[in-house]
Amino acid sequence: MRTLLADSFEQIVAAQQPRVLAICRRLLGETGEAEEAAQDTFLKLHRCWSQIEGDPGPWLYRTAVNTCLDRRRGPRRSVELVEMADRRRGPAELAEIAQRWARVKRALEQLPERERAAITLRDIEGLETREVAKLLEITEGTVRSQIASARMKLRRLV
Amino acid sequence: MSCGQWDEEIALWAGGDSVGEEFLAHLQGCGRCQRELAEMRVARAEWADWTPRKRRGASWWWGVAAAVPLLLWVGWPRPVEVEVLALAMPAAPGVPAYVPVARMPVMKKALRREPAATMKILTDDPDVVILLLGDAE
Repeated sequence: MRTLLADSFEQIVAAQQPRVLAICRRLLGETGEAEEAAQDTFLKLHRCWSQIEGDPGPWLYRTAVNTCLDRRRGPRRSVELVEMADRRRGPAELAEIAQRWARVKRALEQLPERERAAITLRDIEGLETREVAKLLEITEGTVRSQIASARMKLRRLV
Repeated sequence: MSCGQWDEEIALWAGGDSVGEEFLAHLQGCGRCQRELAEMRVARAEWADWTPRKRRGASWWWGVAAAVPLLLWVGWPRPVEVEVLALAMPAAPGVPAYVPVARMPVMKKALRREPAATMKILTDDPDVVILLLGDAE
Protein backbone atom coordinates (compact mmCIF):
# COMPACT_ATOMS: atom_id res chain seq x y z
CA MET A 1 0.00 0.00 0.00
CA ARG A 2 1.37 3.35 -0.99
CA THR A 3 2.17 5.67 1.79
CA LEU A 4 3.01 8.70 -0.30
CA LEU A 5 0.70 11.66 -0.44
CA ALA A 6 0.60 11.17 -4.16
CA ASP A 7 -0.39 7.74 -5.28
CA SER A 8 -1.16 8.16 -8.92
CA PHE A 9 1.52 7.72 -11.54
CA GLU A 10 1.26 11.35 -12.68
CA GLN A 11 1.64 12.61 -9.14
CA ILE A 12 4.67 10.40 -8.55
CA VAL A 13 6.27 11.71 -11.73
CA ALA A 14 5.58 15.31 -10.74
CA ALA A 15 6.96 14.75 -7.24
CA GLN A 16 10.06 12.74 -8.20
CA GLN A 17 11.08 14.33 -11.48
CA PRO A 18 13.45 16.96 -10.03
CA ARG A 19 15.34 14.41 -7.95
CA VAL A 20 15.57 11.82 -10.72
CA LEU A 21 16.74 14.48 -13.14
CA ALA A 22 19.34 15.65 -10.62
CA ILE A 23 20.74 12.11 -10.35
CA CYS A 24 20.88 11.77 -14.13
CA ARG A 25 22.62 15.11 -14.46
CA ARG A 26 25.07 14.09 -11.75
CA LEU A 27 26.01 11.00 -13.75
CA LEU A 28 25.67 12.24 -17.32
CA GLY A 29 26.33 15.95 -16.99
CA GLU A 30 24.17 18.85 -18.02
CA THR A 31 23.18 17.25 -21.29
CA GLY A 32 20.05 16.32 -23.17
CA GLU A 33 21.07 12.74 -22.50
CA ALA A 34 20.41 13.26 -18.80
CA GLU A 35 16.85 14.31 -19.58
CA GLU A 36 16.39 11.29 -21.84
CA ALA A 37 17.70 9.02 -19.09
CA ALA A 38 15.22 10.58 -16.64
CA GLN A 39 12.39 9.95 -19.11
CA ASP A 40 13.55 6.35 -19.57
CA THR A 41 13.50 5.93 -15.81
CA PHE A 42 9.86 7.01 -15.61
CA LEU A 43 9.00 4.78 -18.57
CA LYS A 44 10.45 1.85 -16.63
CA LEU A 45 8.42 2.92 -13.62
CA HIS A 46 5.30 2.91 -15.77
CA ARG A 47 6.04 -0.61 -17.00
CA CYS A 48 6.69 -1.90 -13.47
CA TRP A 49 4.01 0.21 -11.83
CA SER A 50 1.86 -2.69 -10.72
CA GLN A 51 4.83 -4.53 -9.17
CA ILE A 52 6.15 -1.70 -7.04
CA GLU A 53 4.82 -1.51 -3.54
CA GLY A 54 5.33 1.25 -1.03
CA ASP A 55 7.45 4.30 -1.68
CA PRO A 56 8.74 4.11 -5.27
CA GLY A 57 11.48 6.68 -4.51
CA PRO A 58 14.44 4.37 -3.78
CA TRP A 59 13.44 2.13 -6.71
CA LEU A 60 13.35 5.18 -8.98
CA TYR A 61 16.76 6.42 -7.84
CA ARG A 62 18.40 3.04 -8.31
CA THR A 63 16.79 2.72 -11.71
CA ALA A 64 17.97 6.21 -12.65
CA VAL A 65 21.57 5.33 -11.71
CA ASN A 66 21.44 2.08 -13.65
CA THR A 67 19.81 3.73 -16.66
CA CYS A 68 22.59 6.29 -16.74
CA LEU A 69 25.17 3.52 -16.40
CA ASP A 70 23.68 1.78 -19.44
CA ARG A 71 23.86 4.97 -21.46
CA ARG A 72 27.42 5.81 -20.64
CA ARG A 73 30.14 4.81 -23.05
CA GLY A 74 32.85 5.43 -20.52
CA PRO A 75 33.53 6.57 -16.99
CA ARG A 76 32.72 10.22 -17.55
CA ARG A 77 34.74 11.56 -14.65
CA SER A 78 37.88 9.65 -15.55
CA VAL A 79 37.73 10.39 -19.26
CA GLU A 80 37.59 14.05 -18.38
CA LEU A 81 40.57 13.60 -16.07
CA VAL A 82 42.61 11.86 -18.74
CA GLU A 83 41.79 14.51 -21.28
CA MET A 84 42.72 17.22 -18.87
CA ALA A 85 45.92 15.47 -17.81
CA ASP A 86 47.31 15.23 -21.28
CA ARG A 87 45.43 15.79 -24.47
CA ARG A 88 48.41 14.68 -26.53
CA ARG A 89 47.98 11.04 -25.54
CA GLY A 90 44.59 11.09 -27.14
CA PRO A 91 43.25 8.05 -28.94
CA ALA A 92 45.47 5.31 -27.49
CA GLU A 93 44.81 6.28 -23.88
CA LEU A 94 41.11 6.75 -24.45
CA ALA A 95 40.85 3.45 -26.33
CA GLU A 96 42.51 1.68 -23.39
CA ILE A 97 40.02 3.29 -21.02
CA ALA A 98 37.13 2.34 -23.28
CA GLN A 99 38.23 -1.31 -23.28
CA ARG A 100 38.61 -1.33 -19.52
CA TRP A 101 35.26 0.36 -19.11
CA ALA A 102 33.59 -2.29 -21.28
CA ARG A 103 35.09 -5.00 -19.06
CA VAL A 104 33.98 -3.26 -15.86
CA LYS A 105 30.52 -2.58 -17.25
CA ARG A 106 30.02 -6.26 -18.12
CA ALA A 107 30.92 -7.15 -14.54
CA LEU A 108 28.64 -4.47 -13.11
CA GLU A 109 25.73 -5.81 -15.14
CA GLN A 110 26.01 -9.07 -13.26
CA LEU A 111 25.42 -7.41 -9.90
CA PRO A 112 21.99 -7.00 -8.32
CA GLU A 113 20.63 -3.56 -9.23
CA ARG A 114 20.85 -2.26 -5.65
CA GLU A 115 24.53 -3.14 -5.40
CA ARG A 116 25.21 -1.87 -8.90
CA ALA A 117 23.74 1.53 -8.09
CA ALA A 118 25.62 1.82 -4.80
CA ILE A 119 29.00 0.72 -6.15
CA THR A 120 28.65 2.94 -9.22
CA LEU A 121 28.09 6.00 -7.09
CA ARG A 122 30.69 5.09 -4.46
CA ASP A 123 33.60 3.61 -6.40
CA ILE A 124 33.19 4.92 -9.92
CA GLU A 125 31.72 8.34 -9.25
CA GLY A 126 33.70 8.72 -6.03
CA LEU A 127 30.84 9.87 -3.84
CA GLU A 128 31.11 9.51 -0.06
CA THR A 129 29.02 6.79 1.56
CA ARG A 130 26.74 9.34 3.19
CA GLU A 131 26.20 11.04 -0.18
CA VAL A 132 25.26 7.71 -1.76
CA ALA A 133 22.87 7.04 1.09
CA LYS A 134 21.28 10.43 0.65
CA LEU A 135 21.00 10.09 -3.11
CA LEU A 136 19.44 6.62 -2.98
CA GLU A 137 17.42 7.38 0.15
CA ILE A 138 18.75 4.41 2.09
CA THR A 139 20.75 4.23 5.30
CA GLU A 140 24.55 4.45 5.40
CA GLY A 141 24.64 0.97 6.91
CA THR A 142 22.77 -0.40 3.92
CA VAL A 143 25.13 1.37 1.53
CA ARG A 144 28.14 -0.09 3.35
CA SER A 145 26.68 -3.56 3.18
CA GLN A 146 25.88 -3.18 -0.53
CA ILE A 147 29.27 -1.81 -1.54
CA ALA A 148 31.13 -4.46 0.47
CA SER A 149 29.12 -7.19 -1.20
CA ALA A 150 29.55 -5.56 -4.62
CA ARG A 151 33.32 -5.25 -4.18
CA MET A 152 33.67 -8.89 -3.23
CA LYS A 153 31.69 -9.93 -6.30
CA LEU A 154 33.48 -7.56 -8.66
CA ARG A 155 36.82 -8.86 -7.44
CA ARG A 156 35.86 -12.24 -8.83
CA LEU A 157 34.22 -10.89 -11.98
CA VAL A 158 36.68 -8.31 -13.25
CA MET B 1 36.11 -14.93 15.04
CA SER B 2 37.61 -16.68 12.01
CA CYS B 3 39.37 -14.76 9.29
CA GLY B 4 36.61 -15.35 6.75
CA GLN B 5 34.25 -13.29 8.84
CA TRP B 6 36.33 -10.18 8.21
CA ASP B 7 35.76 -10.25 4.46
CA GLU B 8 33.20 -7.46 4.54
CA GLU B 9 35.55 -5.25 6.56
CA ILE B 10 38.38 -6.03 4.15
CA ALA B 11 36.19 -4.98 1.23
CA LEU B 12 35.21 -1.77 3.02
CA TRP B 13 38.71 -0.91 4.23
CA ALA B 14 40.12 -1.49 0.73
CA GLY B 15 37.90 1.29 -0.55
CA GLY B 16 38.67 3.71 2.26
CA ASP B 17 35.45 3.14 4.18
CA SER B 18 35.56 3.17 7.93
CA VAL B 19 35.84 -0.10 9.85
CA GLY B 20 35.89 -1.06 13.50
CA GLU B 21 38.90 -0.99 15.79
CA GLU B 22 38.52 -4.71 16.38
CA PHE B 23 39.16 -5.46 12.72
CA LEU B 24 42.13 -3.10 12.56
CA ALA B 25 43.67 -4.79 15.59
CA HIS B 26 43.14 -8.20 13.98
CA LEU B 27 44.56 -6.99 10.68
CA GLN B 28 47.87 -6.00 12.24
CA GLY B 29 48.58 -9.54 13.30
CA CYS B 30 46.97 -11.52 10.49
CA GLY B 31 48.95 -12.27 7.37
CA ARG B 32 46.00 -13.81 5.59
CA CYS B 33 43.85 -10.70 6.04
CA GLN B 34 46.72 -8.45 5.00
CA ARG B 35 47.11 -10.43 1.78
CA GLU B 36 43.37 -10.35 1.18
CA LEU B 37 43.36 -6.61 1.71
CA ALA B 38 46.24 -6.10 -0.71
CA GLU B 39 44.53 -8.25 -3.33
CA MET B 40 41.24 -6.46 -2.84
CA ARG B 41 42.96 -3.11 -3.30
CA VAL B 42 44.56 -4.26 -6.53
CA ALA B 43 41.25 -5.63 -7.79
CA ARG B 44 39.33 -2.53 -6.81
CA ALA B 45 41.76 -0.33 -8.72
CA GLU B 46 40.53 -2.03 -11.88
CA TRP B 47 37.05 -0.54 -11.58
CA ALA B 48 37.58 2.38 -9.22
CA ASP B 49 40.86 3.99 -10.14
CA TRP B 50 40.47 5.58 -13.54
CA THR B 51 43.21 8.15 -13.19
CA PRO B 52 46.43 7.12 -14.96
CA ARG B 53 48.60 7.84 -11.94
CA LYS B 54 51.96 6.74 -13.26
CA ARG B 55 51.67 8.64 -16.47
CA ARG B 56 50.29 11.68 -14.78
CA GLY B 57 53.29 11.60 -12.42
CA ALA B 58 55.63 11.29 -15.35
CA SER B 59 54.14 14.32 -17.04
CA TRP B 60 54.61 16.28 -13.82
CA TRP B 61 58.32 15.41 -13.83
CA TRP B 62 58.60 16.28 -17.47
CA GLY B 63 57.17 19.67 -16.62
CA VAL B 64 59.79 20.21 -13.94
CA ALA B 65 62.55 18.96 -16.22
CA ALA B 66 61.47 21.39 -18.90
CA ALA B 67 61.20 24.28 -16.45
CA VAL B 68 64.71 23.91 -14.96
CA PRO B 69 66.71 24.86 -18.08
CA LEU B 70 64.31 27.72 -18.70
CA LEU B 71 64.76 29.04 -15.18
CA LEU B 72 68.52 28.67 -15.45
CA TRP B 73 68.53 30.51 -18.74
CA VAL B 74 66.44 33.35 -17.32
CA GLY B 75 68.34 33.60 -14.05
CA TRP B 76 71.89 33.00 -15.32
CA PRO B 77 74.06 36.15 -15.22
CA ARG B 78 74.85 37.20 -18.74
CA PRO B 79 78.11 38.93 -19.71
CA VAL B 80 77.63 42.60 -20.16
CA GLU B 81 79.12 43.98 -23.29
CA VAL B 82 81.80 46.41 -22.21
CA GLU B 83 83.57 48.52 -24.65
CA VAL B 84 86.65 50.31 -23.42
CA LEU B 85 87.42 53.37 -25.38
CA ALA B 86 90.68 55.12 -25.56
CA LEU B 87 90.32 58.72 -24.74
CA ALA B 88 90.85 61.23 -27.38
CA MET B 89 94.33 62.14 -26.44
CA PRO B 90 96.63 64.13 -28.54
CA ALA B 91 98.91 61.79 -30.28
CA ALA B 92 102.49 62.08 -29.27
CA PRO B 93 104.91 62.77 -32.01
CA GLY B 94 105.88 59.56 -33.72
CA VAL B 95 103.22 57.59 -32.00
CA PRO B 96 100.28 56.34 -34.02
CA ALA B 97 96.98 57.99 -33.21
CA TYR B 98 95.38 54.65 -32.32
CA VAL B 99 96.78 53.17 -29.15
CA PRO B 100 95.53 49.75 -28.12
CA VAL B 101 93.83 50.04 -24.75
CA ALA B 102 95.89 47.33 -23.12
CA ARG B 103 99.08 49.12 -23.96
CA MET B 104 97.91 52.59 -23.29
CA PRO B 105 100.75 54.42 -21.57
CA VAL B 106 100.15 55.81 -18.13
CA MET B 107 99.97 59.54 -18.28
CA LYS B 108 102.06 61.67 -16.09
CA LYS B 109 100.16 63.16 -13.18
CA ALA B 110 100.90 66.65 -14.31
CA LEU B 111 99.27 66.06 -17.62
CA ARG B 112 96.33 64.25 -16.20
CA ARG B 113 93.45 66.61 -16.57
CA GLU B 114 91.11 64.24 -18.32
CA PRO B 115 90.00 60.81 -17.15
CA ALA B 116 92.37 58.07 -18.23
CA ALA B 117 89.72 55.69 -19.50
CA THR B 118 86.04 55.45 -20.17
CA MET B 119 83.92 52.34 -20.00
CA LYS B 120 80.88 52.26 -22.14
CA ILE B 121 78.36 49.70 -20.92
CA LEU B 122 75.69 48.75 -23.37
CA THR B 123 72.40 47.74 -21.83
CA ASP B 124 69.45 45.83 -23.26
CA ASP B 125 67.78 49.12 -23.93
CA PRO B 126 69.48 50.64 -26.98
CA ASP B 127 68.61 54.10 -25.69
CA VAL B 128 70.43 53.61 -22.40
CA VAL B 129 74.24 53.58 -22.37
CA ILE B 130 76.26 53.77 -19.16
CA LEU B 131 79.53 55.60 -19.36
CA LEU B 132 82.08 55.13 -16.57
CA LEU B 133 84.87 57.63 -16.29
CA GLY B 134 87.81 55.88 -14.73
CA ASP B 135 90.94 57.09 -13.08
CA ALA B 136 94.17 55.50 -14.32
CA GLU B 137 95.10 54.61 -10.77
